[in-house]
Amino acid sequence: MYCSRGDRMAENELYRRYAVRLNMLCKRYVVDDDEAKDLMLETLIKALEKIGTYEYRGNGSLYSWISRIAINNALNRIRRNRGRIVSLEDLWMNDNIPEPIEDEVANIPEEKILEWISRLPDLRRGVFNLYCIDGYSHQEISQMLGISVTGSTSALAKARKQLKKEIRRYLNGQDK
Amino acid sequence: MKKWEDIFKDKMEGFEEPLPESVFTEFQARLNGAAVPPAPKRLRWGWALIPAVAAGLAVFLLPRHLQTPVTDGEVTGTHSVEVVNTEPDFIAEATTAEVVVPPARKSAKPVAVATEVTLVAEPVETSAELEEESHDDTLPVVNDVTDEKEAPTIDNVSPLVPDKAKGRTTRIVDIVPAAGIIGGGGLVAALAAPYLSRHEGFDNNKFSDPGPDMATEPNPQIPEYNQVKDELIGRPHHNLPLKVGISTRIPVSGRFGLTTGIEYSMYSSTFTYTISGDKKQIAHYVGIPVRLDWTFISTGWLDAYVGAGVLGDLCVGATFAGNKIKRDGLAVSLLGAGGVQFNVARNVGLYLEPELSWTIPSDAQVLRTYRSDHKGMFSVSGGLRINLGK
Repeated sequence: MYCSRGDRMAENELYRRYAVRLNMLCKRYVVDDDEAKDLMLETLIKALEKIGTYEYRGNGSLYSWISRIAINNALNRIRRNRGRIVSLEDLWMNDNIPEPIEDEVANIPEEKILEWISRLPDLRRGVFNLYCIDGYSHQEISQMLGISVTGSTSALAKARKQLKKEIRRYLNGQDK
Repeated sequence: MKKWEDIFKDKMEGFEEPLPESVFTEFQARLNGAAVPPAPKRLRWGWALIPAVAAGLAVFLLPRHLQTPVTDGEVTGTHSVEVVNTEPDFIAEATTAEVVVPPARKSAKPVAVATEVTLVAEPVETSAELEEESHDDTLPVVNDVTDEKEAPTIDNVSPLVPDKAKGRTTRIVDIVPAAGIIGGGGLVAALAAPYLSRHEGFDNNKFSDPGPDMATEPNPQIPEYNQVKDELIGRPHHNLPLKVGISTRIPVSGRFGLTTGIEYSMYSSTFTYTISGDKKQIAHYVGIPVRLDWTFISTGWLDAYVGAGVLGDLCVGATFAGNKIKRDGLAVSLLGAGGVQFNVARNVGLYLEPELSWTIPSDAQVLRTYRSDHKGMFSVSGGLRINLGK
């Protein structure tokens, strides 16, 4: 409410509460750190402009609303860069990579995980983030990205393959 | 047991990195209406202007050059100088005119055409007389052109591509391994390939020589003949074309991209005459290739692709024996290429590209160059490419 009135303290409080989390979300979607920071600030500004349209729906709903704005902005950037060549690395990627177990993955640093996610091609990165981390369905993802459900499923499968390979390399000591 | 993706989710949701104070300052500045810092300049649309402008120039110039008749008689698509003559002209005058033959010429290849020819044993004609006789059928006697004010004469014009109306038959597709050197942005030379196949359908002797024996083995017994006629000897020597250019690839959709740029080519050839010796022809071309590429392999550091397209080459200048001559017409070639590109940076790559090209025959092309003698060419090029949209 105070933000909608242009209360500067409320606006600063909004930044204090959500900027860091938003920044990490943005870093998962865009590769460049500066671009992620720019995306985060753009999201907060836009959220403040549209704060009058927000409806409270319980604890955490404000962050969910703001993060949805951030995701939409990030996906817009991904769509603009869709001309990037799609990798066909999985043509020769080993398809029989065993699923990592919980104990193996638990000790992997977050920085490494973020690095692996950022290495994914734009589309796979977007789909993986939306499906595995942000909890969207393939139907919703297909609408958000302008692709088919099959395309979303396929991109997720390729992203999983690529990340499993990174995990294996890390666990085998090849990527420390 | 948790799946690894769920563990990733938990870790990412709980992962936070502190932000520097400068970010908060920037946030406040934006709230106060400060101008958003300009986004990092992208090469994309700026660089796309280059091929766009080049393509626009091509569209503008193409109709003009296709319609441009070369009318001043120097180098002409209509070939006012008829150089196709299978027989020694001073023998096979297919008229009733007397033909003067140097005595020793009788031992030359006999004529099988002119039934009305009368061989007359008379002294050798002077240069001027022979020039008058041979005006319509052969290259004229070469006179030293010392007066620069004279309109450029045919003497200074390089041998022309024979008139198609004469029914000359040439092999349309004669793939000759060749080489070009393309340095994109000043980098990397291409490989050279040896000249392997022979170009049989294009016999220089058929149109510019009085006969193979006279062309290749001037008869020492009749030096007067050699002095009278300054004719082309044998085949011209074409140097390998030199090409330099800059290339850019514009993404179209998915794995398709449009590769274009600007290319400079230089074709130099040496023609050897019986009297005046070697004469060099140099022709300069600026071309715009436009090719649609499909990338079938793409990793972070390597792309492999195939593509097809066209190349329009415009002659921007030509000289023969140091004198300016009329420029060649527009040359349009069909291209087929495959290649690999090593991505040294996000937007920059080094490429290596074998390419097949075939020049579409056209009356507008009148200079005899490597390309006119080899419609189909194979070349290997390499260089620097800027990838837009990456």
